[in-house]
Amino acid sequence: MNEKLKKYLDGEIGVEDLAPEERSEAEAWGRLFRTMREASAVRAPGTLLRDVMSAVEEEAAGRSSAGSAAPPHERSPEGSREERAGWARALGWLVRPVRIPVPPVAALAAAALVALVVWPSERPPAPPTDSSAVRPASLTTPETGGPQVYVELSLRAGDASSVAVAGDFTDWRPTVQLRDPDGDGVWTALVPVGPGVHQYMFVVDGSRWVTDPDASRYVDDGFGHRNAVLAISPPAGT
Amino acid sequence: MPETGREELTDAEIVRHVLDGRPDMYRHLVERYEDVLYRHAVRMASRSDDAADLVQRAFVKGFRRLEDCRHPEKVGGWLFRITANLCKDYLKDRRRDEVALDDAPTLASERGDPDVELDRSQLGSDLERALESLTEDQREAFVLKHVQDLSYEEMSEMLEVSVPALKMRVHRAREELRELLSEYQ
Repeated sequence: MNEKLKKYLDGEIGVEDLAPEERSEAEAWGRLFRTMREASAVRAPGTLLRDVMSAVEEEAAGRSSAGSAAPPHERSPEGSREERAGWARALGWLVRPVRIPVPPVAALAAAALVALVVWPSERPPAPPTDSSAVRPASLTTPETGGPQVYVELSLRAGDASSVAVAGDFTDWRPTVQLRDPDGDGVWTALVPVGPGVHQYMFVVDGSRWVTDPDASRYVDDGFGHRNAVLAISPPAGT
Repeated sequence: MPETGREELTDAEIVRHVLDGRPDMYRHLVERYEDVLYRHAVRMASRSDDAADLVQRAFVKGFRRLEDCRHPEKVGGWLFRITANLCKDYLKDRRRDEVALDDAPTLASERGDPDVELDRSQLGSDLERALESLTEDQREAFVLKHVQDLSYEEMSEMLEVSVPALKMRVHRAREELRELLSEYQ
């Protein structure tokens, strides 16, 4: 395609600036564009507004309902997953050494492998860019009253609307929301957890359970899925 | 709160109402932008039912993340970007799943217009195939420029991509289509 025709199609020059043979091709392009416009000159289906607002109302109701795990309209797999989570939780009790401190070296190695950043809660964690990234109040930790550390969990999910983490430290409820304030598709949260070995999964868009691809260890949940395993040693000096 | 006339509300005001606890006000944004978003999705996805699903997902995602919209006065463009990204992801997934275009009806056949001439119908079908051959970015840029009839400046603001980059995408798309549709020119 010559430069003048390109400029014409880009709207930089008028048809009067084209030579006759160029006008012929320009007209052909014009016919093509009109055909495409006619084919897509459609209006949104009448059901779209209703469907969107139905989902929005459920979403809003879910937000106002304390402890709601996910929007009702996205819960279709939730029932079976809850069942799986129940089994996983039971499995977790079998393998989780709640009262046995994990050897710090092993725990640190595991932490490094899963690319986690851990801050002892005895000193303030590095301030997150978005203060809402940390929601310790929504957590139910297994070792009540014990020392906790902040673990940075992250998941790349560019097309997600929401990402939460659910694990034995949240009673397998996706109550800790990850955030993606800069919109780069990497969702992150600082999660306070007690020392020990924990299992967790991410919950994307309220219903899709996703195994952390960066975890160094996994355990079968007994239903064909894998829970990520997180080993946390007690903070130094405890 | 008294019901405010829709015509009097700006996009920024609607966003503020929604964030202040009036999710029902989101309806005005849906009514305002559903057609333009749907048209884009139809041209990108080629399948009207998938397009409707993509736009619905975009609106719901927009509602969930409305507080992240940095420029409420430009919420339409923000919703468009969400829709555009979902459309591109959809195309990538479709390619990955290797679903043949022939598995679904094209727009031309969906319309069922008896007055559509056979050659135009064939052109529409071939056009869909030709568009399928473009990259997601090329297809998006071409559709915005020549089907939605936007200026490069409008496209740049909407997609947050530079004008020269968009021109290059459109140019390459035209070259590709020119080759594929040469028999019609």
